[in-house]
Amino acid sequence: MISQNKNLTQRRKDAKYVIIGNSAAGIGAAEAIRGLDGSAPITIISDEPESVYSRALISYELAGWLGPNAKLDLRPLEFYQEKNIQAILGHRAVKIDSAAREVHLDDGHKIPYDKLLLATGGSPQKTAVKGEERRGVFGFRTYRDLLNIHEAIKSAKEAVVLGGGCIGLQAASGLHHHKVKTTIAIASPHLLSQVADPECGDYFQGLFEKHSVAVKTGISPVEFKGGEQVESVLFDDGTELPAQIVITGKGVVPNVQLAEGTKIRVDWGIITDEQMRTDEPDIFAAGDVALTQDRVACKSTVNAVWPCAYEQGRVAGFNMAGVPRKYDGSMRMNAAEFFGVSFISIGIVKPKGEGYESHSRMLKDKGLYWKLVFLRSSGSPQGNILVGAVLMGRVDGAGVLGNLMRKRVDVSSIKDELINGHYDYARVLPLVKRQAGVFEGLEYRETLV
Amino acid sequence: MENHRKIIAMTKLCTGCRSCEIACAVAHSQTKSVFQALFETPLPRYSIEVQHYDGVNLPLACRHCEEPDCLFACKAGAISKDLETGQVQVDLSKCVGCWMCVMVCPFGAATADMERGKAVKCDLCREREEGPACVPSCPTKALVHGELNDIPK
Repeated sequence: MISQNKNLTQRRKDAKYVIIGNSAAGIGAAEAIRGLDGSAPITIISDEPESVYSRALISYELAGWLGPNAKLDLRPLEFYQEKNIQAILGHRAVKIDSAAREVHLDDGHKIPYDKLLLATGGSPQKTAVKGEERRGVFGFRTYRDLLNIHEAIKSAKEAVVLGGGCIGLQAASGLHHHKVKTTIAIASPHLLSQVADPECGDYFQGLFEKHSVAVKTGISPVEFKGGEQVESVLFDDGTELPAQIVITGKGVVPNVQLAEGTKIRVDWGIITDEQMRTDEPDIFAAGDVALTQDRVACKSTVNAVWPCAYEQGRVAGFNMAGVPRKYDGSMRMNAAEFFGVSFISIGIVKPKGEGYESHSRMLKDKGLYWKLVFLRSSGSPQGNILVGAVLMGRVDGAGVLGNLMRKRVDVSSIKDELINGHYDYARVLPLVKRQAGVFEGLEYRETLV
Repeated sequence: MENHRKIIAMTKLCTGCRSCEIACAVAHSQTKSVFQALFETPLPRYSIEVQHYDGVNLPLACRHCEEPDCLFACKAGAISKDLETGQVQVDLSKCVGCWMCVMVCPFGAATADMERGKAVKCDLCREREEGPACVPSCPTKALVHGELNDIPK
């Protein structure tokens, strides 16, 4: 329910809500709490000084998609005021005293809480390469990173991007847009190796090369050389590429430091239950810092993607406000576009182990590629559960496929249709008719008239 | 949830003529003329689509969900829901074409307009005084701008 819920019997009156983190998960929680309770005090703490902005937009800004003087606002500037939220920005939460129910800030202030959400996100993984501290070596995650890169672009001629995932490729597109001669260098054999097949990765490699962005595969950096300022990157095969800008896009490490000194268990990310609770009473976690159950892969993992972060924050918010709600699990998913070619990848796309079945099509002349991965459930002669999808060149209908993965329904009856690239909602309608308990809700019923 | 009107299709009445698609495209064109719209570049998009499968014709448009996944997933803060009317709308000036909504819409009702770099979905003809253009365009009156309760059983 987005609308206000008036039956808050379980809510503690005037509970103080504190949210550490000012991005997707934190905002998801704040909006959920405020939707349920118009007056409870909500405090958002962030070490970043900016008002609520979308860090996911920095790559679009760098690539020039947002136009001049673009804003990265996720919500209007009056958001905190309108929602009656106290925002403590530019201050780091350094410690949680769970006995006293207080968050300690870097300036010594103590913020009391009744319900606390850790939405502390993640930080770019360090490369452990010699010279990483040199000027010109950047992560690509925060508004600050974006400003620093813009500054560096003014005098840079060459750049190296380390990482061939969506962030790396978006960073490379951005540098290319600013006429910086850019090389993408990756250890893996092809681009997008975590989220797509070689066929698809190679297609994008061709596309980048066509636009004069070089791609080097199978090499790892050993040193960022230079003085105070980085001047080149040396690789393990002896290659040395001149670069005044190096962007590292090697993934994200959960910011779990605040768990120290508490009972909160950490296993890469903060361990959460189905209501996004941690092991400490009244402390919740959500977003890129949280370990959740992956609904498709059926294992605990950190799915550090925007839609999951918001949804986890929202579920946490409901539970914090005393309205029980279950998180039905995360899913790995990415969407991007490079040089006019769209790309979406959801779920398990490079299956390992028994029981999987993959079907892919590449229509090179049309710039289309799609791949679907099915899992064989026990008793089924063939793969009958959709668990993964990669779409390139045409992404419409991706959500229909994602929903089939989320619902984990038997798709045998429409499998050939899906494989042939017909995955509009009408294909799913027979399943919706038969399994009203699975496809629950007004919106589905409206399609059955 | 009272009076949250949207486009509901009575599929048994739909002949699959696609008049609704044309009416939608014209309503969202520059010229608002069916003949001139054909010559616009880029071509106007439509956001109701007649899908056919298993003997059913389904004119499908955005469900304006009670809990819109697209709104929650939008990286640009471009999607909002009006709690009074129930309408879920995209602010195209904010949309960056990140395709998050395309990735999460269970109905596939948000699509990628690659030419304009913007998401496309049913806006219930928010700029058209007479209301959604698809409804009067349907020769068999298969489309209703209303709620599920308004549909005759």
